[in-house]
Amino acid sequence: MPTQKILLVDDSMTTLFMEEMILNGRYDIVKASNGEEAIVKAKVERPDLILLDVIMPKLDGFSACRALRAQEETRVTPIIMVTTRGEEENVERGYESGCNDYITKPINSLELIAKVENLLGPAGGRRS
Amino acid sequence: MSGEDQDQGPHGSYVQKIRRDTQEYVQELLAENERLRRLMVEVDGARRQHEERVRTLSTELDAFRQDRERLERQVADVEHDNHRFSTRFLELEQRNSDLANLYVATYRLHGTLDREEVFQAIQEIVINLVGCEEFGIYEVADGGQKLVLLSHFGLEDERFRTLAAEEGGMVRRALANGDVILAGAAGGTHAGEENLTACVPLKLGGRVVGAIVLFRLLPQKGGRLAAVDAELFDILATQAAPAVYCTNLHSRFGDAAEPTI
Repeated sequence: MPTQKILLVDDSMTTLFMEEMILNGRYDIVKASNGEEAIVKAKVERPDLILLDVIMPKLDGFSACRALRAQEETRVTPIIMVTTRGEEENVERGYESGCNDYITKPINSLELIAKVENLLGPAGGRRS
Repeated sequence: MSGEDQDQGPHGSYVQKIRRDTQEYVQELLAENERLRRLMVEVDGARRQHEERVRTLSTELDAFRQDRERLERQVADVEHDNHRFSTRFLELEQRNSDLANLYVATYRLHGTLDREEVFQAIQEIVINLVGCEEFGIYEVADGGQKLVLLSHFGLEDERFRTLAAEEGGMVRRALANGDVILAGAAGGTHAGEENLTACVPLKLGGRVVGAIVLFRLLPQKGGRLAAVDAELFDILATQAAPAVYCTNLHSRFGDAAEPTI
Protein backbone atom coordinates (compact mmCIF):
# COMPACT_ATOMS: atom_id res chain seq x y z
CA MET A 1 0.00 0.00 0.00
CA PRO A 2 1.34 3.48 -0.86
CA THR A 3 2.87 5.67 1.82
CA GLN A 4 1.46 9.06 2.70
CA LYS A 5 2.23 12.04 0.53
CA ILE A 6 3.24 15.54 1.57
CA LEU A 7 3.20 18.65 -0.62
CA LEU A 8 6.01 21.09 0.24
CA VAL A 9 5.34 24.69 -0.79
CA ASP A 10 8.09 27.32 -0.51
CA ASP A 11 9.80 29.81 -2.79
CA SER A 12 13.12 29.06 -1.07
CA MET A 13 15.00 26.14 -2.59
CA THR A 14 17.01 25.92 0.62
CA THR A 15 13.89 25.45 2.72
CA LEU A 16 12.39 22.96 0.26
CA PHE A 17 15.64 20.99 0.30
CA MET A 18 15.76 21.05 4.09
CA GLU A 19 12.12 19.94 4.46
CA GLU A 20 12.63 17.19 1.90
CA MET A 21 15.69 15.91 3.75
CA ILE A 22 13.73 15.76 6.98
CA LEU A 23 10.64 14.06 5.56
CA ASN A 24 11.95 11.97 2.66
CA GLY A 25 12.07 8.29 3.42
CA ARG A 26 9.11 8.64 5.76
CA TYR A 27 6.74 10.15 3.20
CA ASP A 28 6.42 10.64 -0.54
CA ILE A 29 7.29 14.24 -1.41
CA VAL A 30 5.98 16.63 -4.06
CA LYS A 31 7.02 20.27 -4.24
CA ALA A 32 5.70 23.65 -5.40
CA SER A 33 7.48 27.00 -5.38
CA ASN A 34 4.55 29.40 -4.99
CA GLY A 35 0.94 29.57 -3.90
CA GLU A 36 -0.60 29.29 -7.34
CA GLU A 37 1.43 26.19 -8.19
CA ALA A 38 0.52 24.75 -4.81
CA ILE A 39 -3.21 24.97 -5.50
CA VAL A 40 -2.86 23.22 -8.85
CA LYS A 41 -0.52 20.51 -7.56
CA ALA A 42 -2.65 19.87 -4.51
CA LYS A 43 -5.65 19.27 -6.73
CA VAL A 44 -3.73 16.85 -8.95
CA GLU A 45 -1.54 15.07 -6.39
CA ARG A 46 -4.11 14.93 -3.54
CA PRO A 47 -1.47 15.05 -0.80
CA ASP A 48 -2.22 13.85 2.71
CA LEU A 49 -0.68 16.99 4.17
CA ILE A 50 0.56 20.35 2.91
CA LEU A 51 3.52 22.26 4.32
CA LEU A 52 2.87 25.84 3.25
CA ASP A 53 5.24 28.81 3.44
CA VAL A 54 3.70 32.20 4.20
CA ILE A 55 5.81 34.71 2.28
CA MET A 56 5.81 33.70 -1.38
CA PRO A 57 5.54 35.45 -4.73
CA LYS A 58 2.38 35.36 -6.87
CA LEU A 59 0.18 34.14 -4.00
CA ASP A 60 1.12 34.24 -0.34
CA GLY A 61 0.52 31.42 2.08
CA PHE A 62 -2.56 32.89 3.74
CA SER A 63 -4.33 33.39 0.41
CA ALA A 64 -3.22 29.98 -0.84
CA CYS A 65 -4.54 28.38 2.34
CA ARG A 66 -7.94 29.99 1.88
CA ALA A 67 -8.02 28.85 -1.74
CA LEU A 68 -7.08 25.30 -0.75
CA ARG A 69 -9.91 25.28 1.79
CA ALA A 70 -12.30 26.52 -0.87
CA GLN A 71 -11.64 23.66 -3.28
CA GLU A 72 -13.33 20.36 -2.56
CA GLU A 73 -10.26 18.21 -3.14
CA THR A 74 -8.27 19.95 -0.37
CA ARG A 75 -11.01 21.22 1.88
CA VAL A 76 -9.98 18.95 4.76
CA THR A 77 -6.34 18.29 3.89
CA PRO A 78 -4.18 19.11 6.93
CA ILE A 79 -2.08 22.23 6.38
CA ILE A 80 0.95 23.29 8.42
CA MET A 81 2.03 26.87 7.76
CA VAL A 82 5.73 27.65 7.80
CA THR A 83 6.47 31.17 8.90
CA THR A 84 9.56 33.21 9.58
CA ARG A 85 7.67 35.24 12.13
CA GLY A 86 5.87 33.55 14.98
CA GLU A 87 4.11 36.56 16.42
CA GLU A 88 0.60 36.06 17.69
CA GLU A 89 -1.05 38.06 14.91
CA ASN A 90 0.64 35.96 12.23
CA VAL A 91 -0.36 32.76 13.97
CA GLU A 92 -3.94 33.98 14.25
CA ARG A 93 -3.99 34.89 10.56
CA GLY A 94 -2.80 31.42 9.75
CA TYR A 95 -5.54 29.74 11.73
CA GLU A 96 -8.13 32.14 10.35
CA SER A 97 -7.08 31.23 6.83
CA GLY A 98 -7.68 27.58 7.65
CA CYS A 99 -4.38 26.01 8.64
CA ASN A 100 -4.22 23.23 11.21
CA ASP A 101 -0.86 24.07 12.75
CA TYR A 102 2.21 26.23 12.17
CA ILE A 103 5.97 26.02 12.55
CA THR A 104 8.57 28.78 12.56
CA LYS A 105 11.89 29.00 10.79
CA PRO A 106 14.59 27.94 11.28
CA ILE A 107 12.81 24.60 11.16
CA ASN A 108 13.60 22.12 13.93
CA SER A 109 13.44 18.66 12.39
CA LEU A 110 12.11 16.94 15.52
CA GLU A 111 9.39 19.54 15.90
CA LEU A 112 8.40 19.23 12.24
CA ILE A 113 8.20 15.44 12.40
CA ALA A 114 6.17 15.63 15.60
CA LYS A 115 3.68 18.08 14.06
CA VAL A 116 3.35 16.02 10.88
CA GLU A 117 2.82 12.80 12.84
CA ASN A 118 0.31 14.58 15.05
CA LEU A 119 -1.81 15.23 11.97
CA LEU A 120 -1.07 12.10 9.97
CA GLY A 121 -0.30 9.49 12.60
CA PRO A 122 3.08 7.74 12.94
CA ALA A 123 5.29 7.70 9.86
CA GLY A 124 4.63 4.80 7.56
CA GLY A 125 0.90 5.12 7.90
CA ARG A 126 -1.29 4.29 5.01
CA ARG A 127 -2.92 6.82 2.74
CA SER A 128 -6.50 7.63 3.57
CA MET B 1 -31.45 -46.66 107.47
CA SER B 2 -29.25 -48.32 104.78
CA GLY B 3 -29.44 -47.73 101.12
CA GLU B 4 -31.27 -50.98 100.57
CA ASP B 5 -33.71 -50.01 103.29
CA GLN B 6 -34.25 -46.69 101.51
CA ASP B 7 -35.06 -48.57 98.31
CA GLN B 8 -37.62 -50.79 100.14
CA GLY B 9 -39.22 -48.02 102.19
CA PRO B 10 -42.32 -46.06 101.36
CA HIS B 11 -40.21 -43.71 99.19
CA GLY B 12 -38.21 -46.50 97.59
CA SER B 13 -39.44 -46.11 94.04
CA TYR B 14 -38.80 -42.39 94.17
CA VAL B 15 -35.22 -42.90 95.42
CA GLN B 16 -34.64 -45.54 92.79
CA LYS B 17 -35.83 -43.16 90.20
CA ILE B 18 -33.55 -40.44 91.54
CA ARG B 19 -30.62 -42.82 91.62
CA ARG B 20 -31.36 -43.96 88.04
CA ASP B 21 -31.75 -40.41 86.80
CA THR B 22 -28.56 -39.40 88.56
CA GLN B 23 -26.69 -42.33 87.04
CA GLU B 24 -28.07 -41.47 83.63
CA TYR B 25 -27.13 -37.84 84.12
CA VAL B 26 -23.60 -38.80 85.14
CA GLN B 27 -23.34 -41.05 82.08
CA GLU B 28 -24.52 -38.22 79.90
CA LEU B 29 -22.00 -35.88 81.49
CA LEU B 30 -19.24 -38.42 81.02
CA ALA B 31 -20.29 -38.92 77.43
CA GLU B 32 -20.42 -35.16 76.85
CA ASN B 33 -17.06 -34.80 78.51
CA GLU B 34 -15.63 -37.43 76.22
CA ARG B 35 -17.15 -35.71 73.25
CA LEU B 36 -15.75 -32.37 74.28
CA ARG B 37 -12.37 -34.00 74.98
CA ARG B 38 -12.34 -35.42 71.46
CA LEU B 39 -13.47 -32.06 70.10
CA MET B 40 -10.64 -30.36 71.97
CA VAL B 41 -8.18 -32.77 70.44
CA GLU B 42 -9.54 -32.01 66.97
CA VAL B 43 -9.51 -28.25 67.51
CA ASP B 44 -6.00 -28.38 68.87
CA GLY B 45 -4.89 -30.38 65.87
CA ALA B 46 -6.56 -27.92 63.51
CA ARG B 47 -4.97 -25.01 65.35
CA ARG B 48 -1.53 -26.51 64.95
CA GLN B 49 -2.19 -27.07 61.27
CA HIS B 50 -3.34 -23.48 60.81
CA GLU B 51 -0.34 -22.15 62.69
CA GLU B 52 1.90 -24.20 60.41
CA ARG B 53 0.02 -22.85 57.39
CA VAL B 54 0.40 -19.27 58.64
CA ARG B 55 4.14 -19.80 59.08
CA THR B 56 4.39 -21.18 55.54
CA LEU B 57 2.36 -18.31 54.06
CA SER B 58 4.38 -15.77 56.01
CA THR B 59 7.58 -17.21 54.59
CA GLU B 60 6.11 -17.07 51.06
CA LEU B 61 4.92 -13.50 51.66
CA ASP B 62 8.43 -12.45 52.68
CA ALA B 63 9.79 -14.07 49.54
CA PHE B 64 7.20 -12.25 47.38
CA ARG B 65 8.06 -8.94 49.07
CA GLN B 66 11.73 -9.47 48.34
CA ASP B 67 10.89 -10.36 44.71
CA ARG B 68 8.73 -7.26 44.41
CA GLU B 69 11.49 -5.04 45.80
CA ARG B 70 13.96 -6.66 43.40
CA LEU B 71 11.60 -6.12 40.46
CA GLU B 72 10.93 -2.51 41.52
CA ARG B 73 14.67 -1.88 41.53
CA GLN B 74 14.93 -3.47 38.08
CA VAL B 75 12.03 -1.31 36.82
CA ALA B 76 13.74 1.80 38.21
CA ASP B 77 16.98 0.77 36.48
CA VAL B 78 15.16 0.17 33.20
CA GLU B 79 13.36 3.53 33.50
CA HIS B 80 16.67 5.21 34.19
CA ASP B 81 18.21 3.51 31.16
CA ASN B 82 15.17 4.45 29.05
CA HIS B 83 15.52 8.06 30.10
CA ARG B 84 19.23 7.99 29.32
CA PHE B 85 18.60 6.39 25.91
CA SER B 86 15.80 8.86 25.16
CA THR B 87 18.03 11.79 26.05
CA ARG B 88 20.84 10.39 23.96
CA PHE B 89 18.43 9.68 21.08
CA LEU B 90 17.22 13.27 21.14
CA GLU B 91 20.82 14.52 21.21
CA LEU B 92 21.66 12.37 18.19
CA GLU B 93 18.52 13.44 16.34
CA GLN B 94 19.37 17.07 17.00
CA ARG B 95 22.91 16.48 15.79
CA ASN B 96 21.51 14.79 12.67
CA SER B 97 19.33 17.81 12.10
CA ASP B 98 22.31 20.14 12.55
CA LEU B 99 24.37 18.08 10.08
CA ALA B 100 21.48 18.19 7.62
CA ASN B 101 21.52 21.99 7.92
CA LEU B 102 25.24 22.03 7.14
CA TYR B 103 24.80 19.66 4.21
CA VAL B 104 21.97 21.75 2.77
CA ALA B 105 24.04 24.93 3.13
CA THR B 106 27.04 23.39 1.39
CA TYR B 107 24.91 21.87 -1.35
CA ARG B 108 23.13 25.14 -2.05
CA LEU B 109 26.34 27.17 -2.19
CA HIS B 110 28.00 24.86 -4.68
CA GLY B 111 24.93 23.69 -6.53
CA THR B 112 24.94 26.48 -9.10
CA LEU B 113 27.30 28.42 -11.32
CA ASP B 114 25.07 31.47 -11.44
CA ARG B 115 26.28 34.40 -9.32
CA GLU B 116 22.80 35.64 -8.45
CA GLU B 117 21.72 32.16 -7.44
CA VAL B 118 24.73 31.87 -5.12
CA PHE B 119 23.80 35.19 -3.49
CA GLN B 120 20.23 33.94 -3.28
CA ALA B 121 21.47 30.74 -1.62
CA ILE B 122 23.51 32.74 0.90
CA GLN B 123 20.45 34.82 1.73
CA GLU B 124 18.26 31.74 2.12
CA ILE B 125 20.83 30.09 4.37
CA VAL B 126 20.99 33.11 6.65
CA ILE B 127 17.21 33.65 6.70
CA ASN B 128 15.93 30.08 6.84
CA LEU B 129 18.71 28.05 8.45
CA VAL B 130 20.23 30.61 10.83
CA GLY B 131 17.05 32.64 11.34
CA CYS B 132 18.02 36.25 10.68
CA GLU B 133 15.87 38.99 9.18
CA GLU B 134 18.41 41.80 8.80
CA PHE B 135 21.78 41.16 7.24
CA GLY B 136 24.05 42.27 4.46
CA ILE B 137 26.66 40.70 2.22
CA TYR B 138 29.60 43.07 1.92
CA GLU B 139 32.88 43.20 0.08
CA VAL B 140 36.09 44.63 1.48
CA ALA B 141 37.08 48.03 0.18
CA ASP B 142 39.69 50.71 0.82
CA GLY B 143 42.35 48.18 1.72
CA GLY B 144 40.27 46.63 4.46
CA GLN B 145 39.16 49.90 6.02
CA LYS B 146 35.52 49.47 5.21
CA LEU B 147 32.86 47.13 3.88
CA VAL B 148 30.63 48.03 0.95
CA LEU B 149 27.17 46.49 0.64
CA LEU B 150 26.62 44.09 -2.26
CA SER B 151 23.36 42.46 -1.28
CA HIS B 152 21.07 42.66 1.69
CA PHE B 153 17.85 41.53 3.32
CA GLY B 154 15.96 43.94 5.54
CA LEU B 155 18.58 46.72 5.51
CA GLU B 156 16.77 49.60 3.89
CA ASP B 157 18.53 52.38 5.76
CA GLU B 158 21.35 54.18 3.93
CA ARG B 159 23.62 53.89 6.95
CA PHE B 160 24.09 50.20 6.15
CA ARG B 161 25.54 50.90 2.69
CA THR B 162 29.03 50.99 4.13
CA LEU B 163 30.44 49.76 7.40
CA ALA B 164 33.68 51.13 8.74
CA ALA B 165 36.24 48.72 10.17
CA GLU B 166 36.77 50.78 13.30
CA GLU B 167 39.65 50.07 15.64
CA GLY B 168 38.63 47.49 18.24
CA GLY B 169 35.34 46.79 16.58
CA MET B 170 33.83 43.50 15.52
CA VAL B 171 34.23 44.26 11.81
CA ARG B 172 37.90 45.18 12.19
CA ARG B 173 38.67 41.99 14.13
CA ALA B 174 36.80 39.78 11.65
CA LEU B 175 38.63 41.31 8.68
CA ALA B 176 42.01 41.25 10.40
CA ASN B 177 41.91 37.74 11.81
CA GLY B 178 39.51 35.98 9.46
CA ASP B 179 37.53 34.79 12.45
CA VAL B 180 33.77 34.78 12.89
CA ILE B 181 33.04 37.43 15.52
CA LEU B 182 29.86 37.17 17.57
CA ALA B 183 28.34 39.96 19.62
CA GLY B 184 29.29 39.62 23.25
CA ALA B 185 32.56 37.84 22.48
CA ALA B 186 35.76 38.96 24.16
CA GLY B 187 37.20 42.04 22.53
CA GLY B 188 34.08 44.13 22.70
CA THR B 189 32.41 46.17 20.01
CA HIS B 190 32.81 49.62 18.63
CA ALA B 191 30.28 52.36 19.09
CA GLY B 192 27.93 52.03 16.17
CA GLU B 193 28.12 48.22 16.24
CA GLU B 194 25.55 47.81 19.01
CA ASN B 195 23.09 46.22 16.62
CA LEU B 196 25.57 43.74 15.16
CA THR B 197 24.87 40.13 16.02
CA ALA B 198 27.69 38.54 14.07
CA CYS B 199 30.33 39.35 11.49
CA VAL B 200 31.23 36.41 9.21
CA PRO B 201 34.34 37.04 7.12
CA LEU B 202 34.27 35.64 3.61
CA LYS B 203 37.61 34.09 2.81
CA LEU B 204 39.13 33.25 -0.53
CA GLY B 205 42.60 31.79 -0.86
CA GLY B 206 43.50 32.80 2.68
CA ARG B 207 42.40 36.41 2.20
CA VAL B 208 39.30 38.06 3.60
CA VAL B 209 37.47 39.47 0.62
CA GLY B 210 34.14 40.27 2.18
CA ALA B 211 31.82 39.64 5.09
CA ILE B 212 28.28 38.71 5.95
CA VAL B 213 27.13 41.02 8.72
CA LEU B 214 24.08 39.92 10.68
CA PHE B 215 21.96 42.39 12.60
CA ARG B 216 18.51 41.42 13.85
CA LEU B 217 17.60 37.76 14.36
CA LEU B 218 14.06 36.43 13.95
CA PRO B 219 11.99 36.92 17.15
CA GLN B 220 11.74 33.19 17.82
CA LYS B 221 15.55 32.98 18.16
CA GLY B 222 15.25 34.89 21.43
CA GLY B 223 18.28 36.98 20.51
CA ARG B 224 20.55 33.94 20.80
CA LEU B 225 22.59 31.98 18.30
CA ALA B 226 22.72 28.20 18.55
CA ALA B 227 25.77 25.97 18.27
CA VAL B 228 24.76 24.94 14.75
CA ASP B 229 24.68 28.60 13.75
CA ALA B 230 28.41 28.85 14.49
CA GLU B 231 28.97 25.83 12.24
CA LEU B 232 26.87 27.44 9.50
CA PHE B 233 28.95 30.59 9.84
CA ASP B 234 32.10 28.51 9.40
CA ILE B 235 30.69 27.04 6.19
CA LEU B 236 29.70 30.48 4.91
CA ALA B 237 33.11 31.89 5.83
CA THR B 238 34.99 29.21 3.94
CA GLN B 239 32.60 28.23 1.14
CA ALA B 240 30.59 31.31 0.14
CA ALA B 241 33.41 33.34 -1.38
CA PRO B 242 34.84 30.43 -3.39
CA ALA B 243 31.31 29.69 -4.64
CA VAL B 244 30.92 33.27 -5.83
CA TYR B 245 34.42 33.18 -7.31
CA CYS B 246 33.51 30.07 -9.30
CA THR B 247 30.47 31.84 -10.71
CA ASN B 248 32.70 34.75 -11.73
CA LEU B 249 35.04 32.35 -13.52
CA HIS B 250 32.14 30.61 -15.18
CA SER B 251 30.59 33.86 -16.37
CA ARG B 252 33.99 34.97 -17.70
CA PHE B 253 35.04 31.78 -19.44
CA GLY B 254 31.69 30.03 -19.63
CA ASP B 255 31.38 27.46 -22.38
CA ALA B 256 34.95 28.05 -23.49
CA ALA B 257 36.19 26.00 -20.54
CA GLU B 258 36.26 22.25 -20.90
CA PRO B 259 33.78 20.65 -18.49
CA THR B 260 36.40 18.50 -16.80
CA ILE B 261 38.51 18.38 -13.70
